[in-house]
Amino acid sequence: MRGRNGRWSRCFAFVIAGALVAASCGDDDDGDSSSGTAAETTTPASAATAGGGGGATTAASTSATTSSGGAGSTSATTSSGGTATAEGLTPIPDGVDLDASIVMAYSVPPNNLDPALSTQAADNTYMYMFYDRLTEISEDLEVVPYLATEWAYGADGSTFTMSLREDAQFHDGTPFNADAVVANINRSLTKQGAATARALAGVTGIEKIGEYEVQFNLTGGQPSNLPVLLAGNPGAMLSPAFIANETIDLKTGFGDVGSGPYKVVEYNPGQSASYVRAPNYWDPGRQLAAEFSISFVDPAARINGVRTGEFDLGQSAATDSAEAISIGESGGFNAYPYVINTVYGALFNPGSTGVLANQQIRQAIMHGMDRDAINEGLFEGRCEPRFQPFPEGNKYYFPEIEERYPFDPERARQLVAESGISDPSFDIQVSPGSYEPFAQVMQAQLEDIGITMNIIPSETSAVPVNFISGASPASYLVVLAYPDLASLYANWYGGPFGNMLNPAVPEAAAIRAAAAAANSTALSEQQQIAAWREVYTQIQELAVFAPGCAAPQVWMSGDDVIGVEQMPFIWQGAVVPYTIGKTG
Amino acid sequence: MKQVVRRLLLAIPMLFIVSFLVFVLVDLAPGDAAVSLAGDNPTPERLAEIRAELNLDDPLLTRYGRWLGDAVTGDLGSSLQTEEAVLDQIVDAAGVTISLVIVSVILSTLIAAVLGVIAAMRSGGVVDRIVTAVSAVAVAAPPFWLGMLLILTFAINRSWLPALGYESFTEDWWQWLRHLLLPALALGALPGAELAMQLKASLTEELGRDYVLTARARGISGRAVVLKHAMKNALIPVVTVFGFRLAQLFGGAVTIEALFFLEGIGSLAVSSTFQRDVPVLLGLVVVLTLLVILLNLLVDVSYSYFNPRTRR
Repeated sequence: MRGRNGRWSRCFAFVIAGALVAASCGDDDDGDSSSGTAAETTTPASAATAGGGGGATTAASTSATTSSGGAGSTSATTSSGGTATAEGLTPIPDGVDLDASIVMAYSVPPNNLDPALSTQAADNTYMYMFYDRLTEISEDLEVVPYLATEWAYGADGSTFTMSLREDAQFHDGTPFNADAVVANINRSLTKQGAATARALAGVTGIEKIGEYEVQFNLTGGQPSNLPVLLAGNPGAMLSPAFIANETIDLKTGFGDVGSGPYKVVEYNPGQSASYVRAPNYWDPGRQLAAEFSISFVDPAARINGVRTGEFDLGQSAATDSAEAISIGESGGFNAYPYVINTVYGALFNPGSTGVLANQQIRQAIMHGMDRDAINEGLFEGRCEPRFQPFPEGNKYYFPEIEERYPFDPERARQLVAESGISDPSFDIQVSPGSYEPFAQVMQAQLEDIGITMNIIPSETSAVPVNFISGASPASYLVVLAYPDLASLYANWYGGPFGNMLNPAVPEAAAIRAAAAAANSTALSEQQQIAAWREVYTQIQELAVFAPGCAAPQVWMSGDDVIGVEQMPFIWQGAVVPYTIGKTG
Repeated sequence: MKQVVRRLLLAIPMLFIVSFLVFVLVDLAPGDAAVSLAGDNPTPERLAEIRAELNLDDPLLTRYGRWLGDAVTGDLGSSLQTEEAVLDQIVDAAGVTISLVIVSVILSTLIAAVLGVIAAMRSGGVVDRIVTAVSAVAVAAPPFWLGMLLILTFAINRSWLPALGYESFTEDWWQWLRHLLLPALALGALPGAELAMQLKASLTEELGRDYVLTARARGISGRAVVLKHAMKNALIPVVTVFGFRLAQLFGGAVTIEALFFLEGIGSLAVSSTFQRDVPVLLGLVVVLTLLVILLNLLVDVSYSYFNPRTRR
């Protein structure tokens, strides 16, 4: 008996021991990364000394011009308090702990960290920590200098010149200059499968015209929003030494190829990325932490992790925003609600077969939606009813678009009757999650005006695909945030979601022509806005997008975390958290 | 030994069937890997390109045959999303999940042993009723809800234990244990309660048998009667339930890993399902099927210890 017991015990012990060895294999990389981190960390103070360039920056930042010829400005200096290292550079806030490690929990995993190939906006959060771009977009959606200090379109609109910083360098030590920009833009234009090539349509080439000056060659007087585009992936700068050989697949690997405030030390595709402060960076105010990590985390774990201090910063899910705000109000953490420039709503294909081909039916839907009820009923008044992604007060906000379709069930029923269609009914594809409640409320409201909306549950990624391919006459989606009207049009009505302006609809051709005219470098900024205003008014009349409201995102952070409200791209949702630091 | 070999051989057709079923189910589900790889706002042309690159337009049997041909040589392929070797991904994630399951098994076994024995020895009394009530609540409580409650109580309100994350055992065993206690308790509560009730019922029955009365009549202490004689017989049905539950712990780990931010096999299964990452899904199916077969085998083998009659 004892012998058998002994054998059983030894067997069990062996199994346990084996399992523990397996357990230790789970995160070997952690150890590697921490050792790398310690070896490669430098302080902002030393970086500032090495970076230098204060005089050049000052001159550059005060002379930046936009496409319309107006004076640009560096919003980088808008943070309140703190000590600026040099004029034009980001100030380092007083009391910040420069040795801090910051852990951020994010709602979307990293998918592809090659800026030419990435097509997911949320990748920017992971990428822009280590890729500087030529320009930046401020919170009020102005284009501001970044690696480029000033820019201007040529008189005839066929060229676009940029002056560059003279004090920047890549993580591998390669200097940043005109050659680097030429290599990067050529990569953006020519890399196989590059999404950036489509974004840069109209750019025929680029040439070096000085050590720190480049000229883009344009065709057809487009794109008029090149400074905006260069704040995104087309303007992300990789080391030209890497571009010459491309020895790393940036989708799955990493190296010292970046130019941004942090360098990658660990990357787990689909899960997380870890960074350390890049040495010799030109703007130490953008690298307030010694170490930074961003991980894709389940919504409940994001809230719990920030509450317990295991995460310094986290983004709540849209469906958890009320809970996050409530916890914030009770002192569990700091909660910063922010209505991003996106609008939930239904997209219609007016060229589809069925009732949605009828403009009166589509307009009836617009009148039949009670957005205030959606806001109050689903979001306790926190989802701002909007017909357009740009908020009131923004230069791209047009009040008449908000006023065109007030909630008017009588008018809606009248339009249904005028359409001559009895018992109108249509299918709409909706993905599970936060879209479903919207769609269900909309369904009930349309029922009141005599329109039956059949909700077809569909996989999240299949919803846009089916609309784009024409397989679905309607889809419930969120119109993503873009910094300007040209970008919004290029990525929606004039781009993949062109079915909203289906060529089968007579008005579509005129709207497309008006959009092409609005996207011209020959126009001043005011002229462009006026032209786009006309385009979007016509689209509104066509009633191909029935919006609901713009829900807030809530950023949760610990008491010692600073810089949350200043995060670039917070208006888009896909923030770049290099303003984040911790107080000592 | 013969039985062990036979069971292992039976695993081979089982693996074929399960992997083929998963392949078919993933294929039947709406969307495909190309859709998730194409990112925001993909054009039909880009989707077609990706489908061509991944051979997603080939007939189902061709694609399955191609995977199977590699799998029998030990090559489970690469992830469509990350291009990392599937086996490497599974091995990385398995350490976390196995750790979670081990701690969970230890906790649930301890809970079951203590509650089950106490309730059986005080059968019909107040203690028995309390144990039964607690077990009923634990069986009814969803692990996710229980996990939230544990986090709120022990991590948020009292800061005794971390709410999430994982530490390697070899780097710091104490932190490893601290990080796993709450998720393991949430995961192990249900099987622990079930085992406790099973043990109580089984032990109560054994304690009423003649051999127990004889042993007591011979002056053997109550403790020795329970632990040395009755317990061994009472454990036979308990081990059967334990075998089932052990396999289910791996399934339950999916929600618990998400809640506690443990990057284990459950998290990998969820992400690969959403991303239609068929090679990773199939690799997980193969590994988990093998694991369940081995666990069941281990349980069957353990019968021979508890019940010598099964050795014949």
